[in-house]
Amino acid sequence: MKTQPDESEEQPLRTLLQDWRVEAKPAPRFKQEVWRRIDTAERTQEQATASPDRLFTGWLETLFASWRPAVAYVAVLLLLGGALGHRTGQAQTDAAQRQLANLYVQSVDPYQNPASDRP
Amino acid sequence: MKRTLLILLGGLILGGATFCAFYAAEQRAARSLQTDDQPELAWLKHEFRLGDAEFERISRLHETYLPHCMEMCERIAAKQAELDQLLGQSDRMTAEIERVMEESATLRLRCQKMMLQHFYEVSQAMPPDQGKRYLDWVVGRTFAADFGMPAR
Repeated sequence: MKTQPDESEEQPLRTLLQDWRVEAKPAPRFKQEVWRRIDTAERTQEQATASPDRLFTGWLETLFASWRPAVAYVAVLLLLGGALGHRTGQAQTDAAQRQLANLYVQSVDPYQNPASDRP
Repeated sequence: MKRTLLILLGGLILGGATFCAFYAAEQRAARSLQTDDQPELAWLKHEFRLGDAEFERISRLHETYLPHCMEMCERIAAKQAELDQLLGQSDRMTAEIERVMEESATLRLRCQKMMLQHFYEVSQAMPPDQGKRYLDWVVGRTFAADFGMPAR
């Protein structure tokens, strides 16, 4: 039984392979696409074995990779900051106004006990 | 990672800055009242939206009223001290105690009448709607008949 081809039989195949040239051009952004796939595969593999904080970090990175969630996040913090600042300031202003109202009442009626209402 | 951190910190810094800006804006009016030479009158002007001329008139009324008010307070305090001394020396009602109590009540009545007169004058120096609001509030505060007792 013959298992190895003869040297003379292989020669035409070798010549053919040596002369063979790929004429087709790769798809546009072929390299980037390959690297992207490698990156995604690596991330998926990392996430499968990652700790919760790394998972969270990864989730944040994925989330903020797009500008819309980033803008939404900043907008929510702006609104929250404004609302809290307004509310806290308003509460303190009300307290100050009540104090001044008491001051006025005590100036015109020194026997008056301090109360806490204002007009 | 750097971009994510930048967005996270940037958002927090902007949110904090907005908090401070809104807080400061809210407090500006109250702070300017508190630092005034006469904060109680500055508050009155702000609260009842008084114009400069109205405020000037009300300030004069206030300045005129205060010395009389102080004088009455001193007389009431002196009468009260006299009453306290009599009460400390006696274990029953005496004609002297009765007389001093009546004098004290008369002084308090005169003080209240003078105060009410002042409130009317101040309210009339204000625009009508604000004057009514002032009168309702100040009379409620000074002539409330609950004697500090909690409502049932």
